[in-house]
Amino acid sequence: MKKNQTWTNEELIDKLVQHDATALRCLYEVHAKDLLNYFILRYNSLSKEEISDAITDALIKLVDNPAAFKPGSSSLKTYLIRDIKGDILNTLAKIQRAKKKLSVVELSDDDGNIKEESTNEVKDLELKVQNFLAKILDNERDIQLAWMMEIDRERATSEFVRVLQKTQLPPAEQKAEVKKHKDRIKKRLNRNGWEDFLKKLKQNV
Amino acid sequence: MSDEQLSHSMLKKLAQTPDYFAWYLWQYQQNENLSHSDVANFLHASSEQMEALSMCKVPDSQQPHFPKQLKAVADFAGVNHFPLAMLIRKVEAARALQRESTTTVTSIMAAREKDNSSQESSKKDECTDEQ
Repeated sequence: MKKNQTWTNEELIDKLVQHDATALRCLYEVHAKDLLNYFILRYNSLSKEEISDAITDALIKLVDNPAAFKPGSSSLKTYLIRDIKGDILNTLAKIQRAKKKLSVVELSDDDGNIKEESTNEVKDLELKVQNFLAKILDNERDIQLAWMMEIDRERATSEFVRVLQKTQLPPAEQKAEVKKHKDRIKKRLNRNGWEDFLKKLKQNV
Repeated sequence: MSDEQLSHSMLKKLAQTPDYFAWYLWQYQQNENLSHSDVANFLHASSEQMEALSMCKVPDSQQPHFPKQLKAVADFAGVNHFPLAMLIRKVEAARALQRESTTTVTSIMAAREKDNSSQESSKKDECTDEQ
């Protein structure tokens, strides 16, 4: 690959449609850094890591499903910005829901900045949840899945598929695998008093 | 030049996705007990070339066009395609072996269970006969 090589919108679309092995790298080279700068400026309540994850997900999603992009309707960059914005707004909504679920009451001061002591309170609650999950679940992957199910309220099957490393399966099997693991984890949580634990946590806040 | 956080985020995700070289490079590193720079040296690749390669999809080694497609990816990333082909074969061989041993263990367990249940039912028959 030549240094500072770039591709036009049409060349990138062609690579996507042809399922070219280098499509993701080319998309990344052309758009990733601009997208990062764009979103860092506009969403400063999110960390660089969260924004980078959203950009990464959008690029991979586009390569996996190029038919989702309609060339006549917008440029690739505009399409990606719209997709990532949707993802980021979902992340912000999840954070708010997670904070409500953990019963953190007052988060921001008059300027809309998250209070430091509230941030510490959230971290403390998150640690208690992590410790509880670590006691009743066997491995990091199950803890992550439980967090996604119960705290993040993640709905997208694709996210669970990624954590389970089952992307190579056909969609129907992916769905079945995700259901199998979610049911297993749900049973384990119920058997070990997850709902009671959450109630106690809310009472102590 | 890519932003470090962005690059880290992308490579972390791709290392969990078996379609991409990032996964293969990680598997090879684990299987052969090597460091990341050992793998880079094996491929005669710089860190930038390793990053470019990691974000490329691995061609299907069962397809007739595999050598041509692999060379195209290797040329794109600027790495040597001979050691890359060897790396792919080693990772796929290890994966096939793992699948085979999982199937063997499952078969043995199933056979054992069948054996136990047939032994139990013949004991029950003996008790009934005695009565």
